[in-house]
Amino acid sequence: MSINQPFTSSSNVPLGQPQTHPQISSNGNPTSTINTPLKPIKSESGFEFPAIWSFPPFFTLQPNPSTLNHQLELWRTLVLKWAKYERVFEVNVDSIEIPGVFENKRIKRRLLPSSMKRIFQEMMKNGEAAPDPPKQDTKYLIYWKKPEEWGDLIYTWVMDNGLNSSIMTFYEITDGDLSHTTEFYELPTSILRKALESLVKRGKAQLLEGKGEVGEGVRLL
Amino acid sequence: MRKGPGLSALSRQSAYSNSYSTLSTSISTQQIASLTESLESFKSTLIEFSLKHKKDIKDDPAFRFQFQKMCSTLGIDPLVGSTSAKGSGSGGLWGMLGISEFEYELAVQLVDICVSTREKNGGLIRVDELIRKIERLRHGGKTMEGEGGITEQDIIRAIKILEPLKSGYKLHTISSDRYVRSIPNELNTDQSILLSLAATTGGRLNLREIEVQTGWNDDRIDLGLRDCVMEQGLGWVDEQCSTEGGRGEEIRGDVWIIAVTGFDE
Repeated sequence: MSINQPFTSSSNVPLGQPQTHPQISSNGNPTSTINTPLKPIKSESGFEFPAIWSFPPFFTLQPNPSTLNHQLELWRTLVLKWAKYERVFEVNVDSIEIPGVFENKRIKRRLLPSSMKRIFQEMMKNGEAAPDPPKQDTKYLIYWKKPEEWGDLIYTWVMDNGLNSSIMTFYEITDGDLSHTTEFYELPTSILRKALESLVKRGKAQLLEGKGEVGEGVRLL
Repeated sequence: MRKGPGLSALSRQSAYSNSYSTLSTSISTQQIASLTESLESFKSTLIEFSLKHKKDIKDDPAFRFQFQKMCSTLGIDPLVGSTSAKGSGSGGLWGMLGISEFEYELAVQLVDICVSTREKNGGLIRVDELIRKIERLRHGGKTMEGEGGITEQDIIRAIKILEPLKSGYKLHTISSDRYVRSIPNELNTDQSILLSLAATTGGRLNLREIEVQTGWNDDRIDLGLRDCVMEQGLGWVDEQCSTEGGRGEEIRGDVWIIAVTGFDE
């Protein structure tokens, strides 16, 4: 294509371009064609961000509806994977400290709170997130395991450890000495409650109201 | 010959046509027999050759290319042959060679990748990325270096296989790179120019840079960018760029042509 010709002439070099994404953008020398594809990046904790996470427009919700669908799908999957890997249970979209996945400091891009809300809406459609408390749109629980799945895990764990006859407090389940090797260690109370409620529905548990300082408890059947 | 009226004429008529058809059958049977014979011997030689070199043909791109060249010199198109095996009466001459297997498999995988990435890239994908994705598909998600060796030539032939389906798969050249376009939506001149511009910046299109390179006015640039994003789905908008971007209703910022950026996932 003849349009290539002018690019090789150095008189046309646009000067003084800010290097907002140095690993991608031209180094100011337009004669070199950049052919290096974007690669996945490993975080300090070992989580592997997909290559698209280094693509600056990934952090802008796309105006083309079909592209947007795909983008939301990518985000939804990424957030779930990330939350599972980092054991993140709750996200506040207005928090000053932006949770890892929503900001790529290397390319100086972040998702705006409104964009994050949109992604959580998508996740809610799939039962992968829920506003907590309900009826607001800044704080969300992430269900990288559904409450029912947490319920099953807890149930199996209780049975395996022969704790089924005793009454356990919520704190004992998620933060007790016995539970610190379990997946539900430090599970937020709001998710725990939903998990146990799902067990109650299936006739596998009985919730007991807290007495004084002991807090709420549960007996698994 | 008298053409008598009445019932007897009817039977005479059918007798004639019977003997004609018998004659024609015997002639064509002879012809077919001799044709089949020469075809058979040619076929067996070719099969012998290709079976002997089957592994080379399948595994060695250079050898495959030479074989392909030999076929086209002989006026044989293995792709056409593979679908109907015209004249031979027994389909699958090329199927026996294991060649079409390779190419059909490739064509199917090409479609698979193009369709599954279409929402993301608007139906434009760089050939090397396409090959990488196909190879990964073949090795169950693992990236194998140098294995399989699918070449650009193979991709071109796979696209040729798809031609009769009228699916609109086409090869495009942008700058010096080859791309497969899987949507029969033609790019206009301005869009093509924008794509080749993007190829020099790793995919990024900036209003001011476009202006410098093309001398277009803002409206023309806006329209071009808008088309790339909204009509073609080729471009992704980056509103957080620090440079001055487009100022249109929908496009506020840089536009990235995702196929040109390329991903190594």
